[in-house]
Amino acid sequence: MTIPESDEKHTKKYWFELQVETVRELSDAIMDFLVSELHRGVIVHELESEDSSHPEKVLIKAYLTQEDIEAGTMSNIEVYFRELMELHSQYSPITWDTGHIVEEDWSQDWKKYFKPVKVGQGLVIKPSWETYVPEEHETVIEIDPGRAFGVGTHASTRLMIEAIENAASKGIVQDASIIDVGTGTGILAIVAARLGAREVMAIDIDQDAVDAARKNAHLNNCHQVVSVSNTPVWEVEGPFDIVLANLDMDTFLFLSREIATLVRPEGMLIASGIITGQDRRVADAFARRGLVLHSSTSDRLDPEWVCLEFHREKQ
Amino acid sequence: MAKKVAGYIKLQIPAGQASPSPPVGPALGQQGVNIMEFVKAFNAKTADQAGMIIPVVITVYADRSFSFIMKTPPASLLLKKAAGIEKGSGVPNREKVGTVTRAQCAEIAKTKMPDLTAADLDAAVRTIEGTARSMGIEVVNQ
Repeated sequence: MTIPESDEKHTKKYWFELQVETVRELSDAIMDFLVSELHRGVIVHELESEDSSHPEKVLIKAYLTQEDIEAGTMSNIEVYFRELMELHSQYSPITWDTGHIVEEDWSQDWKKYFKPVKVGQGLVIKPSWETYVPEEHETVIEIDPGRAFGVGTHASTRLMIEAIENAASKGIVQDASIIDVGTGTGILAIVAARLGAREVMAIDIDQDAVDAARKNAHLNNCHQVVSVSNTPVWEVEGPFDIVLANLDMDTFLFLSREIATLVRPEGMLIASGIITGQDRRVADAFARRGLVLHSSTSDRLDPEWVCLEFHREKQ
Repeated sequence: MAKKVAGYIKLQIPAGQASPSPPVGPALGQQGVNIMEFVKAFNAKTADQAGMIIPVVITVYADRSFSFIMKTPPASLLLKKAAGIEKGSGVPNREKVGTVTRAQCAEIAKTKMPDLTAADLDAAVRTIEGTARSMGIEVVNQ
């Protein structure tokens, strides 16, 4: 199997789609084999059976790259299927077919459904390709997510924005020095800048995120305040008045020392990307680094997501 | 008011390793799901299960929002654990890579009974034993 000749000078990347139809009894072993061989997941469709006395059938879709084909993976898969049919001759034969799909930026497909969203008391997060006429009290933030995370629709982003807004209502954000660890689209850094922060450092190890965040800082005319880079957190020179981090439990546990160090005495850490049940472990990790849990807030719409606010006491 | 369901997507994905490339990309992109949001949520929930394959059912609603549930590990994974092996055989008819006892198969059948369409426990045990043989795992009495 090779790349189709119609390929436009090999500028497009192809994926090979393998569709396997089998009885339910063999599907578990087949999926296990495919995932082990390909190191990626599979799609499962349970097919309606016309006659309930016949075993239900399952359609499994797996995806192979050109490299997988060159490495002989497809041959291994076919050998496996033949072995299975010898072992289980009582079942109807496994059938399979291959086709190909052109790689596209699937992460962008949903964009056509992304509309302006109101967050917190007076913020509107608007995709850069949409128009929105704000009401008098509203602050509009424009985001072009690129491939990065954070458009204000996810519970963890919403919780973070509300926490920043809440801090701003107490006058803590105005003129503050802030760092946003794992900035994604830059949304939190931009919100902080728009709410009066003096300087915001936005970092992300993902270059897609750095590019998106830079673009968004410009879009919102706060690139003078927000500096975006791929500086690793352990190389950042702190401390800061406020540390923003919308990450995940593993990253918090792994980097608790580095993140905690960035919080100045009497400063705060706002952390999310954590789900209920993980909050205790994250809180314990930061407690060991001298941060005191001040509040824990669950999202109103999606209560399994939690935002934690920590303070470092005066030294 | 319950949200209107637009469709269901079933996947099996290695824990903590969802990404926008296939199978997640083509499966979710067509439905208008924000793939990165799913990727982040799935990886967060499965971060502590490295090495596991997670069956996941995603419900897509008419407004393009989604929710998902993760099911118990597939029988194949439980069999590998019981046999103490990392990977099944690529040629299960010719090369056996481990053994499990009938009692272990019965135990797995009980765990997986809700997900199997087997008529009764005996049929469920036969399905599990069949899966074991499909992976090159021999089923022994003791």
